[in-house]
Amino acid sequence: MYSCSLNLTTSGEKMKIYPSASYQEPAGISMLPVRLLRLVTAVFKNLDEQFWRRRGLIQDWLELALCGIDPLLSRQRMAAEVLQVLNETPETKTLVLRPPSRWKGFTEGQYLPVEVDINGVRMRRCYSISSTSQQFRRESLISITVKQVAGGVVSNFLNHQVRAGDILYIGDAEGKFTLDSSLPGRKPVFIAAGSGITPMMPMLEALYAEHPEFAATLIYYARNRQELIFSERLKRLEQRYTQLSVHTHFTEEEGRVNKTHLLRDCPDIGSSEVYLCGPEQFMATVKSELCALSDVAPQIHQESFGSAHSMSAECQDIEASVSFGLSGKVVQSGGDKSLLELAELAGLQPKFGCRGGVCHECTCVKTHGRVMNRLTGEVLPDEQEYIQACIAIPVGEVSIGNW
Amino acid sequence: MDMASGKAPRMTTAELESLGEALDQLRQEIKDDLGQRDADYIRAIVRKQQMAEIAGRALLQFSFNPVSWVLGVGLLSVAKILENMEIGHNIMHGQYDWMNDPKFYSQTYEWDTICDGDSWRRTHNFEHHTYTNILGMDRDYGYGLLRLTDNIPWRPGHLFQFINYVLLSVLFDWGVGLHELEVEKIRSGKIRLRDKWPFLKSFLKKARNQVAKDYVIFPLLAGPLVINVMLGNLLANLIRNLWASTIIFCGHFTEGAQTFRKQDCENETRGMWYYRQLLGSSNFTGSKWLHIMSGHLSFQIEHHLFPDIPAHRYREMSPRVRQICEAHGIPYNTGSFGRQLMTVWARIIRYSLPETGSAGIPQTR
Ligand SMILES: Cc1cc2nc3c(=O)[nH]c(=O)nc-3n(C[C@H](O)[C@H](O)[C@H](O)COP(=O)(O)OP(=O)(O)OC[C@H]3O[C@@H](n4cnc5c(N)ncnc54)[C@H](O)[C@@H]3O)c2cc1C
Ligand code: FES
Repeated sequence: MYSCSLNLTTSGEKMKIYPSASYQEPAGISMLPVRLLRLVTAVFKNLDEQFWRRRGLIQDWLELALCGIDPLLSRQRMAAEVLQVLNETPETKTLVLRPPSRWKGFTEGQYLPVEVDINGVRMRRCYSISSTSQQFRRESLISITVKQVAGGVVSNFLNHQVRAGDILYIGDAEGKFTLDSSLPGRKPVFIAAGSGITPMMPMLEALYAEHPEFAATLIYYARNRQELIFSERLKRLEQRYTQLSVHTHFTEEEGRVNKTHLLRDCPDIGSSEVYLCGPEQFMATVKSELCALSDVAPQIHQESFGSAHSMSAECQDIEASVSFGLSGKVVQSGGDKSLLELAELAGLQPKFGCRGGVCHECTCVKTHGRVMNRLTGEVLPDEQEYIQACIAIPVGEVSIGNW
Repeated sequence: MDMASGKAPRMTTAELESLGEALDQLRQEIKDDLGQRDADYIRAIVRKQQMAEIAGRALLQFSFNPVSWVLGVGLLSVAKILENMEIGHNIMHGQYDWMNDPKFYSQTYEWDTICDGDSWRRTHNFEHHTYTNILGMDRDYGYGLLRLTDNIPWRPGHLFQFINYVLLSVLFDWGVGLHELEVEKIRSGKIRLRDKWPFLKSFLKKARNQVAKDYVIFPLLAGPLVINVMLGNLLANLIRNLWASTIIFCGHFTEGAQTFRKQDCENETRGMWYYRQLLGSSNFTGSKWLHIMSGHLSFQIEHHLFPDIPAHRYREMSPRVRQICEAHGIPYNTGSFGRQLMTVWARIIRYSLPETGSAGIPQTR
């Protein structure tokens, strides 16, 4: 667990009191109680974790009691208290959170799964962690930075409804969009648009805290000056570290990203290591421009935040491709078959009952994409994960996790 | 559509279609309205159920005097009834799947009774709710034990079926748990016991856990009061059984509830399906908590029309369903709890005797 290793690696005073030589030698008889204590804590923590991983009556009762005292004490979910809500831009807010002590920590660039209940429906979204792990070690705080998406349910909820003192339920940090801990061999170039800056800000801060002499470039696109997220933090970083060059672009004045911008900001971009994050379209443009630019394709790491797609356009084109996560099968569909029929065509044998939307025997877990209810013609809301396969017509790309 | 029993009004295709549309529209209206209220409702019920169970078990655990023992049994019975009827049964129907909360997810929920959740989902959600009251397909109809219509040939054994009914009620959780075994088919040689091994394995596992919980672990934890706890748990399970069985019998076996034949539901349209659900089910009236304690199966008609709409909504849907029924000239079978129960008992007794010739349509087999 994180807090364990925290004790070992960061307690500088202890290291001074027990120089490493005597630390390992029998002279450390006095170490025995400390070691024993650590051992006991580790064993206890392990048991505790195993206990809570199981589902049962006792766990449910304890959870009821703990949440009755304070929802933050929940053990079946990870409750994080919102300590502060900060305005970044008119459309973006940063939420400062205190995760529970059993939260496992993170590396800059990773994201945080966040769960909120809105009108009775539990919704899950991911938000990149916008603070550094150093801050987490020092103050046990992390932050996420959320930009409102037009018509977006969760992003607007987080921007308008959440106040200091509220609770967000979170998961352990995930994601591979991180700087290699051993320094990258090539010069890193960060290219972000809009909220895509969120994972990069802490990556840059962590990089320079450790390697002030390192050369890196940040190319950042925002609609206009007002919507520039983290302008203060960026300014501070740029002033302090001369090796970092920051280039901001305002699409309202300069237009969209293109290779002229990229080459001007970073002439040796072809031989660099590119970290890319932003709306899907933005990333696609950057990638094609980079490809056109040189024969030595730069190494690209990217994080996708998802994209805007209009509902009506999708309903018309009912072409679909369905991937079944467990079996690894993929099938194409022309809009005339339900998920259940498609799965059977793919050679799977999912459970079913009435095949007419009554019994829910065919319910599967949709991890991505949209489906239409065959009986009503209604497109189900994105967040509905448990769907009845026998009456669900896939629309576009759909993934089913448990088949 | 031909009915196997009763005096159902004949419906034209157009009438059935309009019935289907009206009910579909009602369903959609409520579906669109689902939200915070429903999530709050079910979470509050779960909280009450958990507190009743904790208090009940605690009182039994320290039942040094008869008062706390009786209170404990009462609270534990209430908790078990709430869990089985309003929480478990309804969650497993998928009524709360839209909440996206794994705790309320139909396919993984496991309830506090002998019957294994997966077995229940197969036999009840699918067989019973799809083929409601179709003789030979809906095995819930009389549970392969009772003769409740003249369309089932009389045998001398049926003379004692009231006793069978009482026994079934007493052992209801075990009966429901073993329902999928299809004893009657094994006895008649249609299937072999060996074919049922996968079912039996999951049944035994669940039954073992339940027995261990109520009759070994909690009693042993009480030390010297081991017998008190064991008896208390036994009584709570018995009360739950009697209650559940009574409610469920009032849902389909009242006087007016009709039965159907296999050919009735061939190429069935949605309107016809709704029509069959309407005729095969019956409601009873009562206070808010009678409805809650019955898991809203007091609105059996609404439950069969809309099995995956959160059950506490049936109360507001029922006047609308009734209106729709009246507009289409379809009987809406309801009455007080006591009256409906009397007609169930009367029906069990009436059909324990051979056909008199005057009642019902001639036999079809
Ligand atoms: C790994 C990862 C990290 C992320 N990190 C951040 C972050 O740090 N900050 C942040 O603000 N967001 C981040 N996101 C995006 C975030 O998870 C949500 O998708 C976003 O907030 C929209 O959610 P919503 O519920 O408001 O919109 P929804 O209600 O889901 O969607 C409303 C409409 O907006 C469209 N839409 C959905 N997502 C986007 C998008 N990203 N861009 C444009 N249109 C969209 C939809 O297609 C739909 O038409 C991240 C996403 C991922 C996968
Ligand atoms: S198989 Fe019955 S709802 Fe899908």
